[in-house]
Formats: sequence, structure tokens, C-alpha cells
Amino acid sequence: MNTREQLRLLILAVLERQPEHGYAIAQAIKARSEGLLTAREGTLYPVLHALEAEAQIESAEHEVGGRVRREYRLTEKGRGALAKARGDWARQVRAVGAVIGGPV
Amino acid sequence: MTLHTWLAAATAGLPPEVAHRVRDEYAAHLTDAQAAGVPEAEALLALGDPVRVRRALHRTYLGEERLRGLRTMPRMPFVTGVAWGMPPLYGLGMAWIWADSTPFPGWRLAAPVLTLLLIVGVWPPIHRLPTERRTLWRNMCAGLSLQFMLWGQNALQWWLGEDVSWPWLLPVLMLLFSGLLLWTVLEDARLRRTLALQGERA
Repeated sequence: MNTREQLRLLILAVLERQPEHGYAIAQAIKARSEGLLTAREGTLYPVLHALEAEAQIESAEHEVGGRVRREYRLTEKGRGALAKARGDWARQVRAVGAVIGGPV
Repeated sequence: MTLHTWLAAATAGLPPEVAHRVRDEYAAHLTDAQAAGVPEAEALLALGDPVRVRRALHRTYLGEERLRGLRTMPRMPFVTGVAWGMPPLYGLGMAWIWADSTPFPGWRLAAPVLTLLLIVGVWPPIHRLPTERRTLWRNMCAGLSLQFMLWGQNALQWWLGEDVSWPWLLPVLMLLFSGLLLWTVLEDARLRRTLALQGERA
């Protein structure tokens, strides 16, 4: 799984909990990974657009505090893709763990 | 670097409607960061290299120049002429070359006839597409027709045990038209995303 695929998985996982806007997604990734995953925030939107084009997420504009924000939401197709990506990731972690040893 | 220059670099070459949505999102992102107490310079740094972002956006959307090219379609009559004209011309050429053979080897017309039938089959659904997608797929048909005929002709000769002058042409042509088809499918996906953002029928 390359960096771009990892970012797709992280975005889908964040949106599984609740719909979010771009900045909140970036912060959630940073917070949940305890600051370890700090991908360049600029690359987040091209990935969000690609996921939306693939109908894995959908977006709508909302007015919050006088400002218009675009909120992203996971679709059923995205939920399926997330489940599959989670399975792939778990297999990769198990495989690497089996080679390097130690607690996984 | 200011937000303005960062956005200009990140959205360079994108159609206005796509650039507009992208700019709105990054501006909102920066406002959110500043509301959370992050200074503008730091928030801009966190966005990363705008050139990298532009490359990623161009993988999702078609560039403005390419889109304009598909809209103005200056070569469309030529493209239509090639797509429809090549198979009959090729068939006539075959008929002329083998006219003296008795019985006439009808299979030598199979490749141009099959190509013409394919063109007849795909042209009406392509005609119903929006202008830009129509141009893209018609260009592909024109490019494919000659390659497909040459491949079909060589494949039949090889299948029937005839000497094929350039046997390497079979896999090469197969690769060429598979590549062209794949490229068109990917280009069409980017085009549909771009048109969807422009609120047009995609």
C-alpha cells in the first residue's frame, strides 16, 4: 500500500465516524495517530476529490458561522472499500510482523 | 509565499470551475487553521508544495487547454472521414489486389468489414455523448480503425497459415490499440469528473 492509498484509507476511516470538512479530517488523522501521521495537508483535497469522483464519499456545502464549508460524508460504496482496505492493511501488517518479529 | 500565490501555483492550468472549487476549499482550510490559532505562514507550510498538489489535481481533472481542444474540435470532419473512410478504402484496395484470384478470397475483406461494422455499432452511442466526450471517443475510433484493420488482416493471414511479412506487427499493434483504448478510458474518466464539476451533463 503506497502513501496515496494509505491516505485514502485514513480519510475513509475518519469519515466512518461522522461527516467532516477538510481541515477537520486532517486534524483527526493527526490527533488519532498522536502526531505521527502528518501528511502534507495540501494533498488531502486531490484525494478527497478522487474519492468523490469514485462515489466512495459525497460532499455538500453548508453554512457554518457565516462561512460556507464543504462537508464530506462516507457512502455505502466507500464503506465497502474501507472494509476491503482494512483487510488488506491487516494482512500487510501481519506479513511484515511475521518477518521482523516482535509484538504486532 | 501568500495564499494567493500558493493557490495560483496549485490550480494553474485547471478549468475555471475546477480551480474555483479548489480555491474555495483551500481558503476555508486556511481560515479554519487560523481560527485554531495557527499562523498563516505555518498553515501554508502545512499545505506543502503547490506543484505537487497541481500534479495530483491534474490526475483527477482534465486541464483547461485539453478541455478547450475537445470543445473546439477543429479536426472533427477529418477524424470522421478517417473513421468512416478507412475501412471501405482498405476493402476496395484488397478487392482490387485480389480481383484476379479465382475463387475470390472473401476472407481478405473480413478485417475492413468487421471494422466498419464496429464503427457503425459504436457511432450512435458516441453521438449521444456531450460534445467533449464525443470528440474524445471519435478521435479514438479514427485512431483505432486503421490499427485494428491491419491487426485483423495480419491475424487472419497467420491463422490461415499464410506467410506474414512482419509477424512482430501482431503483438505491437495489439499493444498499440490496447494502450490507446486504456488511455481513452482514463482520459474519459478525468473528463467526466471535470464536466461534473462544471455542472454539465457528463
